[in-house]
Amino acid sequence: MRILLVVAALSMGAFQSAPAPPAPGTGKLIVYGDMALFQPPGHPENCILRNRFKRGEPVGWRMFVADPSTGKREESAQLVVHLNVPGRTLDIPMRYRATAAQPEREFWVAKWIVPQDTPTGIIRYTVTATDKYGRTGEFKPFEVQASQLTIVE
Amino acid sequence: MGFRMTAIDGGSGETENTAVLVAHVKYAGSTIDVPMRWRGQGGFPAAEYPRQPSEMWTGVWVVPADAQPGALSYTVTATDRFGRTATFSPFINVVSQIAIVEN
Repeated sequence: MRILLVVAALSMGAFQSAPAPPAPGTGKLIVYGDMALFQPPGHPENCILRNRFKRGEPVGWRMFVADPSTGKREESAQLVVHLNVPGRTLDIPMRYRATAAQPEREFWVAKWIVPQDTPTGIIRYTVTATDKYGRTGEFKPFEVQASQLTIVE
Repeated sequence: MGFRMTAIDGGSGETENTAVLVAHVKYAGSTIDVPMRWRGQGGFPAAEYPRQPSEMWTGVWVVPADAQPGALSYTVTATDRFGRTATFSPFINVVSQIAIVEN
């Protein structure tokens, strides 16, 4: 079992001569998350982490955005997955997942069902975030070939 | 089981390469601390990485052969040269947690 983990933001608990955190509303957003199989609840593989998908399967992204000055979630962030499918970039807006019934789900999600005509191989993607202050941030997966989003037979 | 993490300075947005990271795996009633290694120095397999992965830390924990099937929880902590700290916790969805399985 190999698990892809992502970002830890160092922005808390400073002492001695640590650099000052950015002033409120400044700095770069910190974006991190993972990729999962977005089968519906009740399906045996619902939300299993993965990076290899077959045609017709639902690729899911889950992302978190932290304010660089506090390390806390930046509620105003808007996120977009940018998927480099053959011949173009597909932009998939993410939606904030928490609801009144499930307030603990403090992350953003997006889903892409792999089209039947998608060639096998690696598909590159990034995730960008923008907030109400105009701050931006970007997530890129680690550059590990075998762990990239890959379409398989 | 491999852990891959990065540590980012909240001020600069850059990798904080003085960070020391440790994964803490809760297993069989105790917490196992798994030190992570910064991959910005030393060799790396060129077939796997297109460049030195200097934004990445890795740690490995081998699941004991007698481990019971079930979910495990973990966190990852980071401390840098200034004493700044941060903790990573995975998303809370139950079905996405680390799970020991039979097959």
